[in-house]
Amino acid sequence: MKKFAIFVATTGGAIQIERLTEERAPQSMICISRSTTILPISIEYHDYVRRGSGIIEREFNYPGDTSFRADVSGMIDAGKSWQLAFYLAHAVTVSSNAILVDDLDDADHIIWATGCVDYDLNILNVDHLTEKLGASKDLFDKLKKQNKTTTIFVPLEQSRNLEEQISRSDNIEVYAAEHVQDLLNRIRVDIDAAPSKALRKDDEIVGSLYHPSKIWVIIFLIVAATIFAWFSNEWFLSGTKNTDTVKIETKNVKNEIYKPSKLKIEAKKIQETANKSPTIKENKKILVSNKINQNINVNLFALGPREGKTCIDVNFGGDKPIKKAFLLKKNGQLEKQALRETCRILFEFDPKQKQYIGVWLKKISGRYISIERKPDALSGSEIIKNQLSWTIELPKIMKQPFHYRVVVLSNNKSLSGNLQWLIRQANFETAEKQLISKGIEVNKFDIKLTSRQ
Amino acid sequence: MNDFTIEGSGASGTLVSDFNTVKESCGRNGQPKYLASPVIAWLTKVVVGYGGGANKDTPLYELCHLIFALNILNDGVSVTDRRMEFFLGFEQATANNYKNYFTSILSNANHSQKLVQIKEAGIDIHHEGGEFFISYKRMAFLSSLFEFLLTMNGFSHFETFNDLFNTLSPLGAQNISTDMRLIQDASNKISSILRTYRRENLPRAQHDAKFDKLFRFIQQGNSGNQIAIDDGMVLKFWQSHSFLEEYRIYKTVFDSFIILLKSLDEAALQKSIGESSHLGTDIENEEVDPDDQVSSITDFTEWHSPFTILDIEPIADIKFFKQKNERQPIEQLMYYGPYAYKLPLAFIRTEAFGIVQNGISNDLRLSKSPEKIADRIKCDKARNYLEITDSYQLILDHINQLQLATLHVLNQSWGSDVKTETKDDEDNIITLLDQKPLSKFEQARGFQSPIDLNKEKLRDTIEASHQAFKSFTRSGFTEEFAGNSDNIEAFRLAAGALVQMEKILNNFLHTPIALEFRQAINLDLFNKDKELFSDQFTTIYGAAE
Amino acid sequence: MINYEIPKKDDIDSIRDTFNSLSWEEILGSSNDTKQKSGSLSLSEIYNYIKTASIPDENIEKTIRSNINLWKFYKRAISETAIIRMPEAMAASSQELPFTRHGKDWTLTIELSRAEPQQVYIIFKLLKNINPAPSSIFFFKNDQTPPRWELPEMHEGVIQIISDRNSDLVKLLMDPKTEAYLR
Repeated sequence: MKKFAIFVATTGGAIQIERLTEERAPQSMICISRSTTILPISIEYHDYVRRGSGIIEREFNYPGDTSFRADVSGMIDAGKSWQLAFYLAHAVTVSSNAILVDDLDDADHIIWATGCVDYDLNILNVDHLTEKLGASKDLFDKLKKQNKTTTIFVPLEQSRNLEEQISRSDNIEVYAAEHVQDLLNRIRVDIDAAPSKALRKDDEIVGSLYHPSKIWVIIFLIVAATIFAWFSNEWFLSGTKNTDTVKIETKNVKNEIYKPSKLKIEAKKIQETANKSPTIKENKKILVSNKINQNINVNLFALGPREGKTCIDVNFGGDKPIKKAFLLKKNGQLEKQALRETCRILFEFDPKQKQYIGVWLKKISGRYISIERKPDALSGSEIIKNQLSWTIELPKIMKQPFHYRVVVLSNNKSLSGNLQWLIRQANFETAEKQLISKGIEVNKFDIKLTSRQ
Repeated sequence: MNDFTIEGSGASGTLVSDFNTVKESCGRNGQPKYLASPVIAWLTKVVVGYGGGANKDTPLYELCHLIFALNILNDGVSVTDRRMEFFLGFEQATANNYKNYFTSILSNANHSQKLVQIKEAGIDIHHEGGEFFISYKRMAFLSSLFEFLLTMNGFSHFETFNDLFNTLSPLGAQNISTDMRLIQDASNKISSILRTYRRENLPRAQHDAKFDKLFRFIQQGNSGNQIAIDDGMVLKFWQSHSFLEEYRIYKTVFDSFIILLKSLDEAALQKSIGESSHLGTDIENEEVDPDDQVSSITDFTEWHSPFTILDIEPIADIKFFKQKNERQPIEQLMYYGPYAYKLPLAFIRTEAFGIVQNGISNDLRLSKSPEKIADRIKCDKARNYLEITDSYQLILDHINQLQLATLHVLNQSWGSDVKTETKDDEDNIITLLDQKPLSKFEQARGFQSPIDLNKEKLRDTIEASHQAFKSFTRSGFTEEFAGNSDNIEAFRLAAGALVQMEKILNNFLHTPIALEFRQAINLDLFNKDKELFSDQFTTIYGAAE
Repeated sequence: MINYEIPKKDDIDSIRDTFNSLSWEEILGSSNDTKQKSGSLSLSEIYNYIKTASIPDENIEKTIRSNINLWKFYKRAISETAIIRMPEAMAASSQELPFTRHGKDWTLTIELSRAEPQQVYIIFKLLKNINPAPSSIFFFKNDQTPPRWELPEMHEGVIQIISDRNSDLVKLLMDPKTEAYLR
């Protein structure tokens, strides 16, 4: 995953786009470095994001009413030359092979950009280019010293004589283009890539662990949970709280009559398999830590419409949905029981002992709709001993796969600060290690739902 | 202008503060909202309980009518909001603003037009038994009163008055008689609050004592059915009472005598018009129109310095008087007006020695050296009476020139109305009513059509006026400036003030004592007075040291 | 010399009254001539400030808050001219976030920021076209004299602010005892 640090060129110096966060507010805003200071150009940015007046929502397939909070390192004056840098920052954010970082030392590639972007994604000329380059001289010198790969993006028509203004350097290149796609190709950021070209049904949820080697850890965890939990645990055994057999119909999956007993067998199989696995021994540490994790049961359910109903009836009509649990397939992937449609996902967190739990839905792609506020207790600020649930809703139209990583922290101390810290970190793996070194348990599950055909 | 500032001597700080808050109210352009004269001068009278003609509550009654009219308007705006917008919302309290306000609102409102009608000069409010008329000019006065009422006692009456004003609404078309009752009751309540306020903040004791002292003094000097007040009495009173702090300053004594004269004149006037009183007396109406005010030079109780007219925009843009040599020497004379030549010697003594005494008081306050104070006490720098009257004469000549120059402007504005050269004499002869150019100003103030004038006299006068205009190289005296219609109006209004000034100066210079000075008779009087004042200052300030 | 008839006893009282009034008039009138402004604020000045000032004047705001009667007038003028009125709530609403309050033609939402959990979005949605848009929000609570806050520009019927979760602004907005006016 390539790490980009992106700068907006201004006559007052280069301003870094530190972070882009999808927000719950109706208007997009630009703030200075996580503060409440809003830049005056926020309205222009909002229009730039919004479909119809702008390009971000349209180009990156966000649904209507998407809004962002952009945190930048300093003041950006009036004008529109910030548009190109912001476009690139959004592109990096949604790409599958790149991330935006705020720590310059951590970045693999530095981008300095100036240009207006029109509705057809053409890059238009800007004013004061020479002044902007001059104002960023210190930055360029620093990057030169650090030998950081740096690309300066400018409009094609303004590329002449630029080399006179920027001293030659192996790591700094100047690239001029007419169209944003040229730039994306240049820095090899892929905003169209999907994990697999195979068509996936809307009702299949593929849960993949972040590292394949951890599949057995999960299996063991699940099996352990089923052994110690009561049989009302619906995750792998019965699929629903209602233990009556359920007839499920899907377009692509054969009708199945789901009986709890089958699951038991499967669970056993998984257990045997797990016990035999050499990787279990190899991953002893993980196992040990995961044994501690057995103090928390994390159950995931897909909620879908009853027969003759649709998600509209569930989401807006208040119709009671059917609840289907996630299953673990033989290949270690999580699979939901087949449903015609998945309207919502229900998380249930069930501690076996008093714990602090912090939960983060880390977005990889797509979006969900927050129909209820995440319980405060899942922010790691309260000790919990009873089951907590949380439901999110899936958008009806998904142009990008719904792909989220569920990160669960647990500890016997307050976790709210750690959770907030983790959310802000650009490098998840490094952050995870730090948390584990503090004695905090970290669990991750990937949930991916491809768009409908 | 009064050189001696009396800061709240006796009047409570609350009243002075409340009053100044309204007086100093300014628009965003920094201009006062209410004109010093006549609006603030009128408000002063009302606050002290002197305004209103025979009935001092008349202004309150008018105000309640105006509020009633505002409350009638039915345009969807709350009565409180409309009241605040009307009375507080204008940056300048002008008749035009009030007229435009009513015109725009009543053009939209329907049923209220039966109860409130717009007229050219004001609004008619319909009541049982007739109408109540309030002119737009009058509304400026009533606005100042409204604002003062809400300002009283550090704005503490705002809620009380607001609730009271909210009750002034018509109860229905069939209940007009009840509306009258409402207005009267509201007026009475306000009057009661105002009386309490006056009692708390305007103690009578000191002025009563002052009056008694003065009156006893003048009675002692007189016998029979009449009392006579003259210049000598003022001096004698000061000499005999200057050991008292309140009478230490000669000018203060002079002012007290002037107030006494005004009080006696007022009493005489009241007696002559009888005891009957009705709402909206002529006296009150005269206060509204500056033009009418300045014309009434015999109305001693209503005298205002003509300089207040010349200080109003846009008249103030015309440099009629330079401050030091042309305005300052006659400022006090214009302030006192007719009363200056009622006690001309007493007045001229204030001009000569009042300034000296002011200087001594300042020196003492600033702890200047005894030598300097002693030097002042000698009165060597006091202005000679002849010098003073000579300066009046010079300024009178200047005023005559100004009158001619103003005539030139007004004449230009009339264009071909007045012809100096015609082919057919019979068609264009206009007869002269008054040989002096003075009559032109009388015409100018009254918007009358050009009078008949003897051709030759007229030609000479016109030529003289043209020359006079050209002789002035100061602000406002250019053809371009004078050609503007707003500026012509300013000259027209100034014309009346200039006439007043001329009359005061003339009357003063023709008083016996002034004539004596001008004819070099009794020049020794100044030296005698100088010695007298010097001795008295020595007594006063020598004892103080 | 000026001659007057000696007044009768009843007339003397009347003359004394007139003398008293004229004396006070003289005193107040002499204060007309002083060049120094007393520094006080008139109701006209305050009213015009409320109606026309595009940005707050610190001196005026301070003066208003130093006099309880001026404050009451200020509140009356604000409430009469407000575009949006948020009266005291009938019952205490939930203090949790998101916080929502509905009024005639407006909705107030206070929503947690996802990026900064200690920050919130304050979102005013105006349901009808208002011109000019409100530029300030004024608070009144019992005898307290909270400051006014300037609002950012309205965009597509929305006024949005970011604030610290524990800021006074948020506390005031969520307090059912607070009256707020936007104008």
